[in-house]
Amino acid sequence: MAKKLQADEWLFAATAALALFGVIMVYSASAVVAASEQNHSQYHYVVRQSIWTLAGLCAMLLAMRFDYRLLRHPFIAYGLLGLSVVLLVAVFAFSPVNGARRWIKLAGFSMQPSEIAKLALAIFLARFLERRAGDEGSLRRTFVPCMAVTGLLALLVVKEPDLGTAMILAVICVSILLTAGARLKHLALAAAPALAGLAGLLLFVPWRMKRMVTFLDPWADPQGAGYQVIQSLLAIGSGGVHGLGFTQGRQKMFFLPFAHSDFIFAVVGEELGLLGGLGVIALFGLFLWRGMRAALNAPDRFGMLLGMGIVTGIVAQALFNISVVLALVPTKGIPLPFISYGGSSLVPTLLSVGVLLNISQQASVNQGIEPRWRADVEPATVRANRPATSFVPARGIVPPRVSTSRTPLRGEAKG
Amino acid sequence: MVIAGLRLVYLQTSQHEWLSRRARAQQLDSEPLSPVRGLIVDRQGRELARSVDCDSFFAVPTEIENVDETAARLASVLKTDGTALASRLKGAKEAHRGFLWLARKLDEAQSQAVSELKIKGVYAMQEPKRRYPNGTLAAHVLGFVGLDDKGLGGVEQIYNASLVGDAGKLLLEGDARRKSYESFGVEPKPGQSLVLTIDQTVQYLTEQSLASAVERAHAKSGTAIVLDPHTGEILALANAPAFNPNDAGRAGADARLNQALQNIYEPGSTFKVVAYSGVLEEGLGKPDDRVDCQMGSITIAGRVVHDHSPYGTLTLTEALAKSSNVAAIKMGLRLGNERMYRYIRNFGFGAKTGVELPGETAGLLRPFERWQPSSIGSIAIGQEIGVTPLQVAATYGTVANDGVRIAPHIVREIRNDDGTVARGAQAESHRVVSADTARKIRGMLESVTTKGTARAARLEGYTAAGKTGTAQKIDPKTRTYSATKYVASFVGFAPVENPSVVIIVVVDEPVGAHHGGDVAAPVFAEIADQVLPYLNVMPDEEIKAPAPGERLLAQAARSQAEAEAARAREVESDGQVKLPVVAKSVGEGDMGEIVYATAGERSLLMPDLRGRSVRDVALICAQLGLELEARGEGLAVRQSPAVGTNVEAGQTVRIEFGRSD
Repeated sequence: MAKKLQADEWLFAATAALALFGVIMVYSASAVVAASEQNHSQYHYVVRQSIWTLAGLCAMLLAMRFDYRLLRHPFIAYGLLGLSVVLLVAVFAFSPVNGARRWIKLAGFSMQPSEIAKLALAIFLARFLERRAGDEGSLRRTFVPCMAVTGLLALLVVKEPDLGTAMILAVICVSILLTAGARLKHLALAAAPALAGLAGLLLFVPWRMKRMVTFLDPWADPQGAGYQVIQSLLAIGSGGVHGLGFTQGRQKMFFLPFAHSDFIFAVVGEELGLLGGLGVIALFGLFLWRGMRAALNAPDRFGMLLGMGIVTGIVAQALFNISVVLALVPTKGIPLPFISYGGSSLVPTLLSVGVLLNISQQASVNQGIEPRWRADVEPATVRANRPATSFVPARGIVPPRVSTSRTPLRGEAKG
Repeated sequence: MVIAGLRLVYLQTSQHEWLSRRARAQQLDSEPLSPVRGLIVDRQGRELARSVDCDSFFAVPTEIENVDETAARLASVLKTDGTALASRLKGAKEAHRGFLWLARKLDEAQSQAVSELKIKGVYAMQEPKRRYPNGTLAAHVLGFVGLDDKGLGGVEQIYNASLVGDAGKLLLEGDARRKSYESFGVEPKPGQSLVLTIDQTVQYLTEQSLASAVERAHAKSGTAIVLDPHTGEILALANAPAFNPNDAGRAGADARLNQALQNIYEPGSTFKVVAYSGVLEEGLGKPDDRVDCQMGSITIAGRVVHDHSPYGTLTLTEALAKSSNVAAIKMGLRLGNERMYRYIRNFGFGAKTGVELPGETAGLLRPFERWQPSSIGSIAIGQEIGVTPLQVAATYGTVANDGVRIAPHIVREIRNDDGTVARGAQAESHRVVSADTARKIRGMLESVTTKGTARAARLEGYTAAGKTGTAQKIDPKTRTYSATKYVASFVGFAPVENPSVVIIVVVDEPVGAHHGGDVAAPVFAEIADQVLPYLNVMPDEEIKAPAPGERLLAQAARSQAEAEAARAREVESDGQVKLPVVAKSVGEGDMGEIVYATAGERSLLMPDLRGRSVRDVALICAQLGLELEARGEGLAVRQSPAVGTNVEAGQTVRIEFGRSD
């Protein structure tokens, strides 16, 4: 046994780097907007973001110290799920911001229930699938309840409306199910109505359709529907390889909408160029790698599934946001994890990374021992492993099956 | 993740150029910076036209809340019609226009008054305004500019492209709310400046003499040109009535017409010099040859032409001096149509002189093949042909310049912003008659002033030669010669042996006395008597009579010692230098007669200009050949150099103007 629990340093470093980088970029992107607002100094947003980052990092360190297994307790798992549902319903009691009811504002603080829902869903699914170990293939006993819970949360989020976060919830669910070993057939079965529903949302909600059409040809209406996409592309394109220099961006001068929140990656691209943009993507890549590694090395099945849910949720959201900025997908208002301005997203995200780090600690405790997930699923090895292995290589991660011959985690980290 | 990375590479490398170009298009606002229009200076470098920055006011109609009140307040300051302004504003506001000119290029007092109103939605903008510091001086040469600073007349029009310069631009980094937060500019390149052949002093003297002559004769209009025959340079070109180029819009089209090169008239007797020159050049006669003037009557192809008084046999010199039509027609007949036509063309008639001024006409001259049998007679005495004053001046310039015609021109050189010469004048020249013929003609023309029709053209201390012309105008109604409308002219040069100036004076439709010798010849004398001493031309004759009181420079001629002594006395008497001798203006808006003291031949004593208006000061300085550097507005309050100091022509004097109350 190790004398001291050791979290994954790379994971920690990537998270801290992204969060601190976020503070700097929020300053650059928001200073002009802040200064133009009444009673606000140019530091208005960056001061708040610093406080949130500090709070978030504290939350993360705190979460690191709590054994994640505590989350398995039904009181916590179901309590969080129930709280999420209640809050997601409560959201509709508050006045909309930018046309959407995503926030609950109390005593000067605002929170985003959908952010809590992400963690709650991951915890619930991890716990549920752990208890269904060996029975993951069952449609009725495993798949349907998972889908029902995810569907309920996603529906409430879509209603806000926040299609982007709903899709992240779906990604979390799918990734956990796949890791757990659900049948692809079932997922395909569920995917059909989900895609149909998505198509329906696109076709019958006019502004979504408009965004879709705009995405296909943003230059058709540069002053109207295509405005955000075009401004984003102009910012990215202006940056070139080296960028215009930190704080030297011009698109944040009110051209770029939400420069310090949803489109902050465009500011990164403009000011820091290709190097900065690729750097951010690389940091998320590092986060994904170390995060999945920690999850797959988790001491138990719950930890593994929960870790996977957290990592894929965050990375999927990051990729989604970056894809919006690069006009690879239609515009969706979701923030870039760690970097975008806003405590209601940053603090829950850092908190969940804290959980992930705790999982990585527990994994390091078990170094050199057969991973728990493998031992646990021994009776159903073949079936349980197939989806996991078929899923993991797709992400370019070395499958942890070779654990008997691999070098100890800690030695690697230190060497 | 890989796709996002590749997309990023694609956007920031291969798409970088056009995306950033497009981004710059929306981020950068380009404001044109108008260059300073080039100076126009006279041959001594004295400013005739310069551009200064003035305030213009415009409204953003959508920002104006109370249109009627705004219009009323503006109208009271701008002294315009308030209701008209209100309706303009209203119309613009309803059309949601963001820009409406209110008043452009206001003077300092008015622009300050408008600024002080502090009306919401009314803004000022700096625009260069063309200023002609000497007012009407050389108006027809300079021309004027429109509101957009485009030259619309004179050299301003012809050399507009050179004067304009290259526009610069101010690049403004703008945000999406159209507010700029950073700027950097490309400096405009000032226009080239023009150095004219005009001499401000000569021009002023010429204008004054012409204007008073036109007034005396109650004439419709008049033209006077002073030409340097050896260079073809026009020293002065004046028309009366003149106009003020500072306010050209108010002047009628008639006043803006440059009659010196746009007015076609029948030259009359002044044209006889062509036939005489041809005869002498072709060896068909000599000045002393006798010609029978047939007691004042000759019939040519059925047309009878009379002399104003009957002469018997005269020498050619006498015939020209007495302006015998019979003799001139005989000269034409000696030459014949073809040769006559050739001389007319060689002297430059029937073609534009090419002077650098807009609107010049070639005149009217039919090719000899289309002449009537009687045409040779008419043309020999200056009828059946239309010429411009400038063409006639150039012809006499040819005689004065030993038979070589140099194309008259008005621009000496074009200078770059840094003072280097971009282009100099290259006047075309060709020989028309031999130097010998020219000299003989000069001698014959001298007798016109000594014994002939133009005794009024005699000068003080200089020999003069020339020819009068009195042409009946063709009545457009009856298409015959009018009995009441004449063009009286005199064209001549002085001194006779080596002429320094050629001067033509044309007075259109004088009332009462209409003979060129009575109306135009005295103007020639008045101009020449002032200009020749000014140009330092050595007198070639004894000064016969004391100078009449109204002759400006002649009056001023006193010995240096005398002036110094007078000055010393003044200084001694009360310790303060008195105004040497400057009479105050007499008439309203009239300079009256300015008498000033000279300290030497070229230098004079600085007069007291304090208390005089800008216009008066400008005129006095023009007259004295002083370079004026004026500051401020109102009446002169300070001057440098001080009163009584020795100043020389061409020297710069600084006058500060101000309003006492």
